[in-house]
Amino acid sequence: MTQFSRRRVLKVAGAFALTGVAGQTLFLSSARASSEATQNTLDRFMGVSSALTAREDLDGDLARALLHAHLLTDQDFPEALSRLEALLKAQPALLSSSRLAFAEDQSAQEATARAMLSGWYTGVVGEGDQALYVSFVNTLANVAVSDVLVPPSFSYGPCGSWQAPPRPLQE
Amino acid sequence: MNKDISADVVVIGAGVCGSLLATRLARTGRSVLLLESGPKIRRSDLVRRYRESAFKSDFMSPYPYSPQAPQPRYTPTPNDYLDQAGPHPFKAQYIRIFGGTTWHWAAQLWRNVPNDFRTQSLYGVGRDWPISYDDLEDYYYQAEVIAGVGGEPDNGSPRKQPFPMERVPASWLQQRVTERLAPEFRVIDDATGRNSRSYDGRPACCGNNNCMPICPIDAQYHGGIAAQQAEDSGVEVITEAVVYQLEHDRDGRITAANYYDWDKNRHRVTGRTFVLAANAIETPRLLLMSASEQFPEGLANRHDMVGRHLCDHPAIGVTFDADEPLWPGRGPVSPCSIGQFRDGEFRSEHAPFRIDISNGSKVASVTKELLKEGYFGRELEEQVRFRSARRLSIKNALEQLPDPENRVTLSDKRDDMGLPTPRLHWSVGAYEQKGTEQVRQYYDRIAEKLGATNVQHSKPGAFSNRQHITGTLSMGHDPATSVTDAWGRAHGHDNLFMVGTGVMPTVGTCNVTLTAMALALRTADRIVEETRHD
Repeated sequence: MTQFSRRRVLKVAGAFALTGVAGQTLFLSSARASSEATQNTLDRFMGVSSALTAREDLDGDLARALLHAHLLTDQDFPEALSRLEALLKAQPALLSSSRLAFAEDQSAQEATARAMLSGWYTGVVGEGDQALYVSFVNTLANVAVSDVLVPPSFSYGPCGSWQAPPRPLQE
Repeated sequence: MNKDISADVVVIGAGVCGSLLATRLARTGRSVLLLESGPKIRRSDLVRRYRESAFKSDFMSPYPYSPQAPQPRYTPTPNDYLDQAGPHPFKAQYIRIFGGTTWHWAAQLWRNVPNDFRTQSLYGVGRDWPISYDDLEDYYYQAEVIAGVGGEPDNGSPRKQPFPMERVPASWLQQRVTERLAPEFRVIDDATGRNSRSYDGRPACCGNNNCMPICPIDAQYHGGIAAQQAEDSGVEVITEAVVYQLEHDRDGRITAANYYDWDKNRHRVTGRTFVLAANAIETPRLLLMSASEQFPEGLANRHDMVGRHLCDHPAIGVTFDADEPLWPGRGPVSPCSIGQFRDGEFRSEHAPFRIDISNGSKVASVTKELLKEGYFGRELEEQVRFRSARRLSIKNALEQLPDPENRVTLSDKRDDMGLPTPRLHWSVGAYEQKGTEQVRQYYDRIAEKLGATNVQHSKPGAFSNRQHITGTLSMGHDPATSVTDAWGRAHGHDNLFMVGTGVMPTVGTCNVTLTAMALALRTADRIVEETRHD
């Protein structure tokens, strides 16, 4: 019998979906997402996302799902992405501090950056009635702590395994 | 009228109390009909809905909203089902589905302390119950056996028998907090219906850390289990049955319940005994909606007591970052608390309370916080780890005195069925405010002992609900000041009983479900005894 590590099981379980507030799930096919968002937009989305997250290992499938959600919740998202990309190219120092500190006249670009970061780290795009669930297990916040915690609703381990001091979970 | 159903006992509301009572009565051979306004939903569907929710911090989000059986919702936009008449908002949450509100809870199953039943006699505040702790002790134990309760035995509530369940092992967080707060604060295991081993066909907890809003494996007891057990015991269940009126005869005995199905077709069911178990807000609503020529103020309301004395635990909270990694999120979400302030002479001066320490994962909340603060990139991830490891969240269960001005009435608004929605009047008085000041001082002391930084108190003057809704159907000897007698029977209606937290005259300092379960079992036995020769 094949034994899978907890982390591998979670990774498999972390399929992406878009869910509206009414509970309707719009399962996302990569092909459909790709057809709706040009490869060029996806490339730019990945580039800006890498800069904001300081990660080169972003998941391509999750990126497509997030981009699709942004396009659904903000019809001007491609233009907003372009403006943010241009700003970061012109002023790379904007990402040299630990917090976003854009100038007052760059507030629109900062809002786009925050929306993209929120998608990657919380798995939700949009706010209020427009909020769309995209991912849970694979959010970067959950990934950041995955050596110690499992996302809520998934099994941590046998009863009482949480008594021990926190240490990296077994591969 | 589509259905013509009759039963020995008609129970309205398939939450944990109504279901326990229905099961007990069915097992004596009585025919029992259980009417539930909401739908029946599988646990697996609730788990899926949780994982796919964009609003995971809202414990109601996995539970589908039904306009035919509306429930209060606050996220993303409040639905204003409850008409808030002030001065403080009473943001009640409850679930109208088969199994009721204990689908989402932390399985906290506490007993009151004995003096909770005599606060007027002992401390000159609140109301005395018509029964004592000793009257309930055996029923407490019966309910604990049904739910598989474990916890710290020395918690202020004397026991004749040990807990039926061995306690769930303490998380690292609990161990560290217990050690560092001692001896000034005594942190103890909560009393919970959570399996530390297989019990009653359900598995041991495996640390999903999702007791609220939904345990994915049924390692904790909840109303869905009780309701299914009722059906499996021979109780006839009708879901999506919105009872809107009770009928009565000249003597005040209830003769029928009228309900709408979700297509708004009318149905009428008859019975010998009726039991209302539709929670502490919806049951008063039904009594008030059942006004008739003979009872123009509603049933059981000759003295205008229905819906009064609305209580909860008005809570404040604090969060901070401890000076060592505790990593909340490993094990159950709500494992321990401080109980040394639940009773004492001070109760004559200010409210008693319990202090609850959360072990729920903080990853989602600190991530939102950090994003709001503008963090990004590597520093964001480092801070997610730092704060997720150290963030501690604490809240309290503070006793609110029953005030007749705090009450449930009917509003002028109508739901989709055309029925009046509940209106709530609620305020928090000086007794509670004074207790709250004490709580806040202890919060600061706890934070200090844990080397806290980033201490964030909840907004001064604001109170959150703990969803421990009590008082609105208070039991008592005097019909002029209570709704039900010591058995949960409506004053003036011999064959009408009520179960649930609403019959509790005072709220005490602990989660209220176990007391309500014990009272429901006691009421069931009373009905059996009284109808033995029918």
